[in-house]
Amino acid sequence: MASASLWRYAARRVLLALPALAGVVVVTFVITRMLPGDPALYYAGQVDSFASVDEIRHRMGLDRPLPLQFVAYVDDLAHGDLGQSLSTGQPVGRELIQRLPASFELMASALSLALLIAVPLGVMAATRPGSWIDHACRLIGTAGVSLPTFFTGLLLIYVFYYVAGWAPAPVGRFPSFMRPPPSITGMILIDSLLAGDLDKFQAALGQIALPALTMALFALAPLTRMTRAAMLGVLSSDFVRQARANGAPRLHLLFVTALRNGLLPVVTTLGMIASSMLGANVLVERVFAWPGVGSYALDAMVSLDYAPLQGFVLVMSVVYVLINLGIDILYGVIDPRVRFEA
Amino acid sequence: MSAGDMSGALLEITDLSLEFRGRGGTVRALEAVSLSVRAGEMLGLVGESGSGKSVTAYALLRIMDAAAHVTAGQAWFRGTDLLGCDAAAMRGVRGRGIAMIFQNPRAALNPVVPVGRQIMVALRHAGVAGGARAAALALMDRVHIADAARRFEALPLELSGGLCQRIMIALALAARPALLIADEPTTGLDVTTQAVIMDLIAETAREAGMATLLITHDLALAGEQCDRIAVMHAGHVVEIAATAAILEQPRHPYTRRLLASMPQGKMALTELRPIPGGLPDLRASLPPCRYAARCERHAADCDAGPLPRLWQDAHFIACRHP
Amino acid sequence: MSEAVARRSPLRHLLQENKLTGVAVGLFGLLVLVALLAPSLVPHDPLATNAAHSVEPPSAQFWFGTDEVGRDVFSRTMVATQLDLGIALSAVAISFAIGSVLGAACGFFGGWLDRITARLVDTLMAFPLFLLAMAIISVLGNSTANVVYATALVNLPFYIRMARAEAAKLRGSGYIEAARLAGMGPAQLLTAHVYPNILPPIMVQISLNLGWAILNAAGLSFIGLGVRPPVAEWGIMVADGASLIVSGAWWVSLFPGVALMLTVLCFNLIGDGLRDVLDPRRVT
Repeated sequence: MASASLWRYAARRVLLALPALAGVVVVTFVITRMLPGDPALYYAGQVDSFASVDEIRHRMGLDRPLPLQFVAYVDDLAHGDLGQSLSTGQPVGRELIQRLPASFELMASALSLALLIAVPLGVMAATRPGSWIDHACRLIGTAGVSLPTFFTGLLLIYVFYYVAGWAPAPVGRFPSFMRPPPSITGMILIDSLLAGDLDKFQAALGQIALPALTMALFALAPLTRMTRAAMLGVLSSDFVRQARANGAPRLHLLFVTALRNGLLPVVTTLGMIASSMLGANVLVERVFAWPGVGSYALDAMVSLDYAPLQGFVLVMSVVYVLINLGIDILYGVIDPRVRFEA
Repeated sequence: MSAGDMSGALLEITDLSLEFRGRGGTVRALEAVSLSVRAGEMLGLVGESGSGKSVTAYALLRIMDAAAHVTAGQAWFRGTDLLGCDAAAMRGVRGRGIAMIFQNPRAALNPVVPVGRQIMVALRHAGVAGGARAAALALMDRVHIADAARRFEALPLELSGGLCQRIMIALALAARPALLIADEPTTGLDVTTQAVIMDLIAETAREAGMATLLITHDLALAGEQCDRIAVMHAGHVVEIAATAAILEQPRHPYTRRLLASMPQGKMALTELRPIPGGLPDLRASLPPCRYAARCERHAADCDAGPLPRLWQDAHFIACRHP
Repeated sequence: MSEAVARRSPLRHLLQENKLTGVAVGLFGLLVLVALLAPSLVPHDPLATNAAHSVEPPSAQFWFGTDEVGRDVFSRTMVATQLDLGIALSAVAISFAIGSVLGAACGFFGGWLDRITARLVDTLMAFPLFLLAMAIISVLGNSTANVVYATALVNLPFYIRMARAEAAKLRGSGYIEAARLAGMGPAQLLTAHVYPNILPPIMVQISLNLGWAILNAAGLSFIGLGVRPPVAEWGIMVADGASLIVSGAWWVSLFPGVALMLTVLCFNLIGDGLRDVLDPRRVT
């Protein structure tokens, strides 16, 4: 009975995500059409020096009424056409897809690292109130949200690369003197493991360590704080007391009964963290010269080439809507109570 | 201070004193509490809120608040020193020797797990291997849950208060305890359901040969079901006796006023007779008899020496001028 | 007993209970002082370049060292206080002013206003906020004013939702019904009764929000979408020093970075302290 309604719940969430997607497309269209200056003039100056500006404007469809332009825009999107990058001459869509695995690998590593540290730390702080772990937890929670991500990244480079020499030069995903493994998933860490090449795996790990750590530190604070608070709440709840009185073994009580309920607010927090992480990703990619979608957009921007930036914002916002959808569904898996909502 | 013919008692509490230490001061919640429960009997522990009845039970299972400290006394259960044994021994007692159910049944169940599965988990922890689902369904039948197969997958929020209480009782029975502590088991329920649940508790206790410690503020409720009643006031046990004796020949002034304050049939507001005053502040320094300030039989020598605690023909009383 | 003390003097109670918050308040005072006085008191002109003293470590002449074009890092860091604080305060003030009023009206009156605003807020919140700010500034162009507007816009949903939730709670309350029956019009109800009552919980959030706003503005400036050079702003300064870090010139980025961190920490601590006082159940 309860599992059937999970499908219905998931379907409901998907339906609810559609207006959000529509909103993202509309807003990015509105922003795209508000380019500074006249793009036709810009094209005229850069590319077709002999064609008249009016011709170019006509070719770009900029002289048609706005609603028609919007239809054309959506049509382009449906075919994966996000425009052309003026600085590289390549379609924006293709370049974004090429660079997406790099950003994904970075964010996934950072999030995993953050969760691996934050959840046990928060649980330990909740079970040992007043201990040094508890104080460390609260310190991380407060100080962590005050750190500017780009600054932490630079500090880590200075300490671990320049001073200690442990980390490799921040030149990107892979050291320049080595060739990356054959690309299967697009994620160097996984690809090097699949190719059985431990040297390349180690090199890639070294390159990703500092940027992932920078992003993880950024997510660590809210996650630790929320885990600790949620666990404190759950551990003092009636049903935990009842289970304890019934003789439940300590580990089961903590990691099955309490944690499952305690993770609920943490999962909700993940949505908020995803939003900040997508923003922090841009900063970290800049600091560490990481060849992901963020640095692609920023590099293009420097040459006043705006199509990549707008394509980037559109794609990442769609990704964000999908992430939120995933989190909603995950929540429904953990907490069957939400499936009852209308 | 031991009971006269209480040899072979299942649970024996002797001179238990407990205090809460906090920033606002030290609260002497229990002082020299002694009582025992015989195998198979139902003992009612009756008192106002704040009298210490729940605290006593929590102390037995060592699920008290972190601020609570036992300062004196012992509690023995089937050869185990409840207050002094190590954590592993304590976990062996919880559920298997002594089980406890609380007020607010829905809040006492894991909100995200179907109730049937919660019973299965309790059975697994009690050592019931294989076929746990069948055993869980059998347990649900035993507590008279109709349509058990369908209710098995239900979440606590889908069930009524009465059903949740039955599930709690099923969870408590899973490991076949010798003693069930029921802390205000019917307080959150409507009157009809109250009667039904109390009958269920009494019935399962009888069938399993299980003793019951019924904690309640409702003397009438205790009077209906219990074999013996212990009355508490402000952290002291003031009277223990067979139910009939308590109801017909109460000896302690507090018990008498409790009985007198119970509404009989339809009464006008002016006819109700509450007990004057309130519980004393347990942080302040207190006289030997904590009821003295509210007592109509209070005399000067009540405050002089220690509170006399006497057994007379299986009737315990802590009073200088009963 | 301690509650009575709190009611008598919340500020003193706040400072006594939480020494850390007291330090933060002191630090805030210091920041305001620096913001106001720095431009007149700094030893060197924050915009003056000096090719002869390029990338010099801290010394007696240049207390925080110099950057690539020879500007004094100390003077620039101090002067930037005014700009960064100003940007954060303006952005938060705008989003608070518009958001709280709009949210209160939506929460209290409901109806079409609520439905349309909810749609707008949902659409805004469907974006990762930093990216939305980036897109907006790429359209409007780099300038201090645009950073303020972009930050204020992405911050708006936060206040709208909070005000709306608080105002909705008040909808059925007795004294508001009484005022309405006495003939108060909707605008009057809103200003006299609803709005003042939703303010306390929102005020707690303002301090925390200020910290976020500064980080947002500095982040935008770091990637070149914020304030325009050669203006002294902490984010831009960290960006200037970013390429120098790998060769060991730590001072160009460190000092503005630390200033940024301390300011945000200060706002966060004050916010936490306020929360402990106004809502002691939720101890952080």
